[in-house]
Amino acid sequence: MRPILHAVSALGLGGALVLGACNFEITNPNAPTEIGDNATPAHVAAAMEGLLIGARGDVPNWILKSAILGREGYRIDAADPRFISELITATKLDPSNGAFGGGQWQAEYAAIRSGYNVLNVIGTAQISDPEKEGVRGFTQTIQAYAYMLVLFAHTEDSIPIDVNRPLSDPPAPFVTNVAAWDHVVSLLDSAKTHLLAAGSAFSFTLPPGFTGFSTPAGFLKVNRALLARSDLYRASEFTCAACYDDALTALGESFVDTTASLDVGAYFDFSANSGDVTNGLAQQPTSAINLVHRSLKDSLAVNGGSDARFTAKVADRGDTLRDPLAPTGHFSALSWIRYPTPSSPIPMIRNEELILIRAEANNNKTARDAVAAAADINFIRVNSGGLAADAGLAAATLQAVEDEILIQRKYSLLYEGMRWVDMRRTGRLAQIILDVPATDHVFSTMPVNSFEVDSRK
Amino acid sequence: MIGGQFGTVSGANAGASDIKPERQTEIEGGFDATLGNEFATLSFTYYNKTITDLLLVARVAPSTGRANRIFNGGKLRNLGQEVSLSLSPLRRPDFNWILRTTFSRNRSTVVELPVPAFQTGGFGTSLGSFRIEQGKSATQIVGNEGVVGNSEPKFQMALSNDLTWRQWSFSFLWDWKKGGDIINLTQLLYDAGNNSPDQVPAGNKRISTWGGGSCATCLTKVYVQDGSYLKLRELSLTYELPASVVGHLFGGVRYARLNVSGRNLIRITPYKGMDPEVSNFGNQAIARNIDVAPFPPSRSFFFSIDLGF
Repeated sequence: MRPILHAVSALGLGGALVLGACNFEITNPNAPTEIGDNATPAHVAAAMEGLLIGARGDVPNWILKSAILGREGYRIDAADPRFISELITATKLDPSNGAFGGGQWQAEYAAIRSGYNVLNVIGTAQISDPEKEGVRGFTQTIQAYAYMLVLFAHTEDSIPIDVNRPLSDPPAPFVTNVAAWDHVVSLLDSAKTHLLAAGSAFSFTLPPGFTGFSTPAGFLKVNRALLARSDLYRASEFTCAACYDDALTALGESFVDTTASLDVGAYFDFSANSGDVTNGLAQQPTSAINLVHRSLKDSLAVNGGSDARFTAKVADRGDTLRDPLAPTGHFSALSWIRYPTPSSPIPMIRNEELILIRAEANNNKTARDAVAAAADINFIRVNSGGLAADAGLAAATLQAVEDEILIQRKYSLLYEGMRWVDMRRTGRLAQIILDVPATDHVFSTMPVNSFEVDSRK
Repeated sequence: MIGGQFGTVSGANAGASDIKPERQTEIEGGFDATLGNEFATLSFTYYNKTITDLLLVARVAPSTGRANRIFNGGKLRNLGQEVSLSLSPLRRPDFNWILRTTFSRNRSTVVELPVPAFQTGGFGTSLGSFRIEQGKSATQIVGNEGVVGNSEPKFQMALSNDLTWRQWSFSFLWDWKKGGDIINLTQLLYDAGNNSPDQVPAGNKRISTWGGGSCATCLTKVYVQDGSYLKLRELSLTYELPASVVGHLFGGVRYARLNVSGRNLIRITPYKGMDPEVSNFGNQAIARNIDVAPFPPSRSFFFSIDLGF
């Protein structure tokens, strides 16, 4: 009997079969082992850096994608039409693809898992008790940041929270959006308690992006800044009158400072070094395919046609790049230069945002303080935008001041992943321009990743 | 690495400490028949191959922080038939003719799957993705609208011919594959870039029918296309110089052959891409038949002189 063409058995894994049969313990010589019981200080340090690497992973993708969803820009990519077909002209976002609709899920939860891998064993690590507290505080803060990224992208169906469970257990249940944000806040508060008990130094070294915030006391300011961002989000997206006051309280313990540089803050580092990753948002302006929406330039006219923030972050492309399928609708001649080099860091949170959070909280809180809000807005207008101060702001209505804050946030936080979220939380999604009204859509949320949905069937 | 600091991240694949080998049982039946003094040989095989304790790499809920879980479980069945027939209609000292033909077909079914159905391979549903699902073929392709194809061919046939007449020998090989769908992303990219040869109106119609993201009216099927083909794989003609001439021309040479041959000479296919024999991601068990602008096989011609000493 001569076998002819035995079809490949569809699910076989020959290599794994052999290894399984011989029961070899395989260690990966190219990577250190993951953290386990009785971890050495080096293991703990590596796990902490790994946590940051995990949290950083999806940030460039989020900025690019939320920029398209919120029409800060386009990506007109001859090799992949889906940045328009899936994010702008589809009637529904596709949950099956992590690069598009199904994104802001896998990478964030992987980072959260990395955090639990540490928290679950840190009690036995070979470091002092205050150092363990430092690890807990740092880990929970980064976990909260990862949850925030998931929550920025997902509103309607919300997300699972109780994910620290064995793989053999059923997946964690979904909780409401309000409860998920409550969890973020409680994580940040729990982290604060740990950081306050963490002594004067961490047992690990933070990367250069955390310069100024690399001790427990310094990092606590980043933690409080993230809390202020969470409180502002909760205050505007949900009914939570006290949340504006909470945001102000958090800001008081953060690094908000009108005498410091607006760029002071915590950053994710990127580099071209071996083993590191580059900032994927960096591009040559003349060959750029990540483009700026022309409305950003058009709306400058309100303030006299120029804005130092726009000039610093946007460059002329030289020619107009058009979407072949909608050449008169989706086009742009403006390139992002917000992240000029492959080693440009991406902010996790920085001073300029904190000042604008303070302005918004002062404007919208129950005991409104329009004077304080106007002072912060004008500070940003003058020092960041190079614009004249608006003398009438202090006497303007709550709504008018909020409109002005959103304009300042738009230009101050250009291409930092906030625009779409801001428009949604303040109920302004309908104001986003539809370039081709017949085909374009503005989405309010990303769907739950289909692998998450499928695995629960 | 981040900011010059080394870090460890937890892996995307969760292993299993109790992993064991897959078990495969195969029942094979068939016959070989030889007719009329080896004038014809027919062989037929039927097989039913069942693999249990499959080593599965299944997707898990990403909220667990993992992407895949490796474990034993499930059952896959491959049913197939193989037929081969060889004929030698002429066998004379100076004239020899042998014809061989083979036929094969295989059907896979995921008989048992202990986890919910999961997708694997491809670029998301809108561009076609493979889906492992209990009771279904292991190679089904799903799109926005549901199942849109199957990469497994209905059957494959080959026909080869060897003819020897005096100093001349002539051979060819035809391959025929019927069915087996291909995800033609090359054409999608051409259409999306306004660059297809038939852009107006066919390309525009295709891309608008496809429509992108997941929506009720979007059809992934547009770019999941029949990969049937009939190919003249090889054609070869050889002339062996007579011994007298060889001895005359080159001292010490026992034989000399002149050969002209060509490969990939004829291709008949309804497939719209460069070539239906495509797999951008290599020789994979499942996620084959994805066409994203690969380099196609070339047509080649050879002229050779063989000298034997």
